[in-house]
Formats: sequence, structure tokens, C-alpha cells
Amino acid sequence: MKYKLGSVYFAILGAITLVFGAWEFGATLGAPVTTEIGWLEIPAGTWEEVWRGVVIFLAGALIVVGAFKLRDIHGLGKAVLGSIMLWIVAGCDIFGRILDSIASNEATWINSLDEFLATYGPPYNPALWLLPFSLVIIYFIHARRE
Amino acid sequence: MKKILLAGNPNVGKSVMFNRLSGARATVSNYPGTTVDFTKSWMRIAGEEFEIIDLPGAFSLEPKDKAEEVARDMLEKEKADVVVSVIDATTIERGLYLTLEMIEKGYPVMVALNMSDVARDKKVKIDTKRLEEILGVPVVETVATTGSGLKELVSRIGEAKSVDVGAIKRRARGVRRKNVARKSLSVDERWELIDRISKQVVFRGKYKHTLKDVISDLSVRPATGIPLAIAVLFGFWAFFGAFAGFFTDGFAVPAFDEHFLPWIQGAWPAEGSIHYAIFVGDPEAACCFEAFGVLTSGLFVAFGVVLPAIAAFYLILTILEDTGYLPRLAVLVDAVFHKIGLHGFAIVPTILSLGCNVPAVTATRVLETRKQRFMMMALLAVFIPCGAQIGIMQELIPAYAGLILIYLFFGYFVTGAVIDKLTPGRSPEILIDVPPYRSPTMKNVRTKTWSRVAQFIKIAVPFVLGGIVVVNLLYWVGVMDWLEDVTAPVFLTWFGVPSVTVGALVMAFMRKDMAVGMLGGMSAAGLLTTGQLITSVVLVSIYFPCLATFIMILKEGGIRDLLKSLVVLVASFFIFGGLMHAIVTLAGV
Ligand SMILES: Nc1nc2c(ncn2[C@@H]2O[C@H](COP(=O)(O)OP(=O)(O)O)[C@@H](O)[C@H]2O)c(=O)[nH]1
Ligand SMILES: [Mg+2]
Repeated sequence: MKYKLGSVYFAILGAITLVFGAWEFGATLGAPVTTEIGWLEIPAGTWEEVWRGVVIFLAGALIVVGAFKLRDIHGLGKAVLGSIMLWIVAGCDIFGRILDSIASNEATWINSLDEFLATYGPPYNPALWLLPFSLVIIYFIHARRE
Repeated sequence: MKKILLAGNPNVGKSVMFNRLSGARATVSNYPGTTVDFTKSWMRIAGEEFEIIDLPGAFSLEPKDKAEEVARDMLEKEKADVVVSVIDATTIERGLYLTLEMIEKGYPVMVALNMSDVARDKKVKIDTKRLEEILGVPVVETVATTGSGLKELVSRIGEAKSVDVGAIKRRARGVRRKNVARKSLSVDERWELIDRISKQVVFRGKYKHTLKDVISDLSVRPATGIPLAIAVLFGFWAFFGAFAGFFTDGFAVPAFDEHFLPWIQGAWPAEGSIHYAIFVGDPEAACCFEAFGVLTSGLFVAFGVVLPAIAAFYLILTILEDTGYLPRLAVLVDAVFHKIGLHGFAIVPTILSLGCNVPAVTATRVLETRKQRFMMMALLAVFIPCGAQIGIMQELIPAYAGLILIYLFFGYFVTGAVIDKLTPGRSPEILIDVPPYRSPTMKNVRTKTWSRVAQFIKIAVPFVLGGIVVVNLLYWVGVMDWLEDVTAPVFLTWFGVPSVTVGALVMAFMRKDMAVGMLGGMSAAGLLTTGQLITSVVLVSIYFPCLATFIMILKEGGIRDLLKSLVVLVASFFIFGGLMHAIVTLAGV
């Protein structure tokens, strides 16, 4: 039961990740799509964002493939690998945000408290949105250990 | 003084053990081939001073590469009082081979069964008592990373002794009859003996595939490994950019450009004098890139831009090394590198080179043949920009830095393929040993990153500052103007850049980061268009390796390899520089 639910969950999560990834690099490469919906922002513009998009896309692909065989350790492995890739991107974003929130890039050196907090406000990019949902994989890693 | 040598296969934990024992800081890496040179230190045991030496990893005393050669020679030359044979407890067979060879040579041996924690995890049990009985020398289980067992190891150092290999053979067979003493075994006899020994002392429990194994496996298989590599390298790049940008744009730029520069421009006496030109540079300059004085551009580039970039680079590299990802990357790219006559391990010097070319040239020793080492040195020196230079590129032309890198990698492979065809010599296959994934320890990451950064500062800063002095003097006495006139026709027609870039190329001989900084200054002053800036950055990258690298190649490869590298360099400079000109022109930048 646990694994059935898990499979469905990760298949959906993976598919969404896949779409987001394609959206990111597609937008940068000139696909006619919007890059901002409410609190969701698709980073697009530089060649690094193509790279980012490709990473997210591939992460999604791995999660989907893994989701179908979550009970098997090899399937779980793929889903974990995909999640790790997602975490790398999200981790870099969070790290960048933290640094951004501190430095003002101006003569005042350090941001004021308001500016500091504002850095953490929305919109967020797909990797950040997906991050909490992907953490569910940790539950399955633990379940496996027992 | 008594001497202790640590010998063993690569990547069994000799260096960690060495550091633990001596409190020194040998480089520890989770991939084979870290220690190509030996490292010496001292330790006290029970009030007595010992010299302790960490040998490069070797599989056998019949050397197949440089590391093994060094190891064998050291063993022969040093006449150690104790040779500690460090063996990986998870696969003792290969370690026993070397141990037997050392015993046959009559060295006073004792055995450290290291990584016994990993062995336990893998359900490998070793009957230490029995092994000790058979070998007739002390055998101690250790975990170098935590220090467990080292105390016992040290306390039993006095028991190490030379033993007769014939007696070992008898004990392994369980026969009492006294044979004639045998001095040495043939390769087959040795393996047969090892087989006999391991049957008696190694017990393997049923081993279940863990998630770690699966991940490990997935990261070297192309279908899943390549996506992971793309992600890891993205993380590398993104972290590098964020970290370096934080310090440089957030703090160094405002500090230097808004406070320090105006102040020193006013405070330094005698504007127009030679010392003003050397130390402060352009009195009108609005930013430190432009000023080009030792105290302005020099300090800014060295500490404001390059230092954060290098620190970020080495931090991540160390983490990648210590987790064990690097050798997996090597396996993954093996096929690609084989196309240009190298093998997967070429990725190690290549990535190191993205930090600084100097240690990278040393790291070419992981490659087997002279041909491969030469190829690697030439390619590194010509095509791989160092972290300092990349940091400056990120600062000056963020939109193009990545594209320039891709262009240079393209040059690296094309030129590699060409040199491969032109140079005689072999490109043998090697097996890459993939160590298990491990979580890196804070302490090792900290000390290693710090020692690498410190090393870099020692190499780089004098060249940055000295280079500025030299180039300023050349301007002052008019040599630069002359050079510009002479080279102008070639530069304009072939590369499409104005001859002022000659100044940067002269600088590049000392330090490439500073040279790119100079180009940035020129472009800020309106002397270069964006297209010309890109082309000239490519030229600076391909052009002569910086002096420190140059010296290193001479030391490692000798004069012949250096001259051959120069031929590669001149050809690449004109071909890829001209090609870039064409691309920039066609793209209309
Ligand atoms: N788990 C575990 N890891 C170890 C042990 N000893 C060394 N290592 C790790 O093994 C890797 C290789 O160590 P190093 O000292 O560079 O090996 P060397 O090539 O023999 O000098 C490093 O990542 C160490 O952290 C040990 O006893 N247990
Ligand atoms: Mg070592």
C-alpha cells in the first residue's frame, strides 16, 4: 500500500518536475511561454538557465522512471538520484538567496533588516517549490532501512 | 633517528594514517594517485624520535608507473626500521601481494588492516590472530579516519621484523617439515600463497545491496551518470558564481572602487612620477581594473577577485574529492577521453587545472605514459583557464564567460585528438578504482581547502604584483609601444583586435587573471569593443601559460616536453584565435 501510494506520488512529482525543467530551458531558448504566474517564477534568460532547466528536466525523468519501481532498490535509487539533482539546484538557489540577503552590493555593505527579509519573499522558482515535496523520498529511504 | 615507512596500495588510507600519526598535513583524497611524492614528518613514540614517511601508493615492487617507482626506490634507499604495510581490510589480497614482496626483500614489516570499519559494514571478517600467526609479523586492525587501532599499532612497532617467506608458506600449508629457506617467490607462487592465506583468514557474510551501492552504481552508468554529472557540475558552477560574486561584488568592489582608489589616488605623492605609475597607476581611473598599479589593480585582483574565486573552487573540489565523486566522473568520461588517447583519469588534472594549472601539472603523474603526460600538460597549459582567470571573466563579462569556456573545451578536445595522432607512444588502458561514497569530514575539508588556498596565494600573489611592476616598467621605457607597432598588422588582420592588447599578453606571461583584468580596464576605457574583448580574452587564455606553470612543466616534463608544448601553443594560438575572430565577426558581437 505504502509503495503504491509512493509510486503514484513520485510519478506525479516527477512529471511536474519534468515539465518545469522543459519550461525553464524552453523559455530561455525562446519558446513563447510566460515566465511568471503569481508566486511562481521561471528563471530564464542566460545560458546558465538552459543548463539549470536541463538538470531539472533530467531530475524529473529519473524520478518518474524510479517511481514505477519504488519497491525495488534500483528503482528507489533512481528516484533518490533524481531528488539529489533537484536538491543540488535548490540548494544553490537557497545559498544564493542567503548571500543576496546579506550583501547590498552598495556602499552600505549590508542590507537593512527589511531588505534582508524581502529577499526571502516570493516569487520562488520551480526548484524551490519542488524541494519540500521531494523530501518525501527520505521517508522511503528510511522505510527501506528497516 | 629511526625510520618508519608507510607503504601500501593507492587509496588505502596511508596519508590519513600518516597525518594522524605525525600531526602533519599530507594531502588526503578519496581517489587513487594522490601521493606521487613522498611526504616526511616526525613523531615521538615513548620519548624516542621517529622519522615517518608516507610513500606513494603501489601495487607491486615491479613498478608500472612513476608512483610505484618512487615507492620502490624509497623502500630500497631509506633502510627503514619498520615498514608499515597498510592494507585495505575489505580486499586484503592486493595488499598482501605487496606485503609479501616486501617481506621477500627482507624489510622489517608490520601490517595495518585499515578501513576495518568499511569491512565490518560489508560483512567482511578477518581473523587477525590467524593472519598474524601465518605471517609472523604484527597485524593490527585500524580505522585511520577515526584513529582507532593506531595506538596499538604504535605500541607494537618494536615487534616488526623481517621474516622468511618460506616459513610463511609452510605455516599457511600447516606443514612442519623444514624446507630450505626460500628468498623469493614467482608471481604465481605469490598469488597461490595469498589464496591459501585468505581462505584461512577472510570470512565474507552474505552481502546485501545497499542504497549506497545502487547510487554508486548509477553514478557511473552513462544513462544515469551523465545526468548526475550535469547536475553536479551545475552545482559547482552556481556555487562558484554565488560565492565569488558575494565577496567580490558585495564587498571588494565597493571597498576598492569607492573608498580605497580615490583615497590612494589623492594621497600618493608626486602624480606623474614613475613610482606613482607603478604603485597607483592611472590617476584618472574610475575603477581598480583600469588603474593598473600594484596597490590598486594588484591588490584588488589578488585579494578582491581571485581569492574568493579560488577559495570557492577549492572548497567544492575538496568536497567532490572526499565524497568519492571524482573517480566516478573519471569512469564516466573514460570513453570520451579515450578518443583523444587519454583515459578517464585525465579528468583529475583537468578539473584541478580549473583551479590552478600548477598543481594540475603535478597531477599529470596519474597518467601512465610519457605521451599521455605530455599531452595532458600541453592541453592544460593551452586550453584550461585557471580559477583566478575564470573569476575575473565572471566579473567582467558574465554573459560570455561560460561560452568562452565551452569554446576552450572544444579546442581542448580538437587539439587533443590532433596531438594524439601526431605523437608516437602508447595510450594504455587502466582500471579506475572506485572507492565507496563517504561523507566528507569537516576537518579534512577545512584543512585541505585552506592549505590549497594558502599554496595558491604563495604562488599567485608575488606574480600578480611583480607582473604589474614589470609591465609598467616596459610601458615606461617604451618597449610596449614598440611591441604594439611591430605586432599591430598581425593583430588587426588575423585576430581583429587592436595592438594595445599586446600589453595584456605580456602581462599574461606573468599572470593570466591580471591580464584579463587589464583587458577589462581597456574595454572600460573604450579601447575594445565587446567582440574584441571576447577574442582577446580567448587569446590570453590560450597564450603562454603563466610563468609558474611554465616552470612547473619544465620541472615535470623536461625541456623537450616544454618545447613541444610551445609548438602546440603557438599553433593553437593562431588557429583558435583566428577562428574566434571569425565567429565574433559572423555573430556580429
Ligand atoms: N571509512 C574509512 N575511510 C578511510 C579510512 N582510512 C582512510 N579513509 C579514506 O580513504 C580515502 C583515501 O585515503 P588516503 O589517506 O588519501 O589514501 P592513500 O592513497 O593510501 O594515501 C580518504 O577519503 C580517506 O578519508 C578508514 O580507516 N576508514
Ligand atoms: Mg596518499
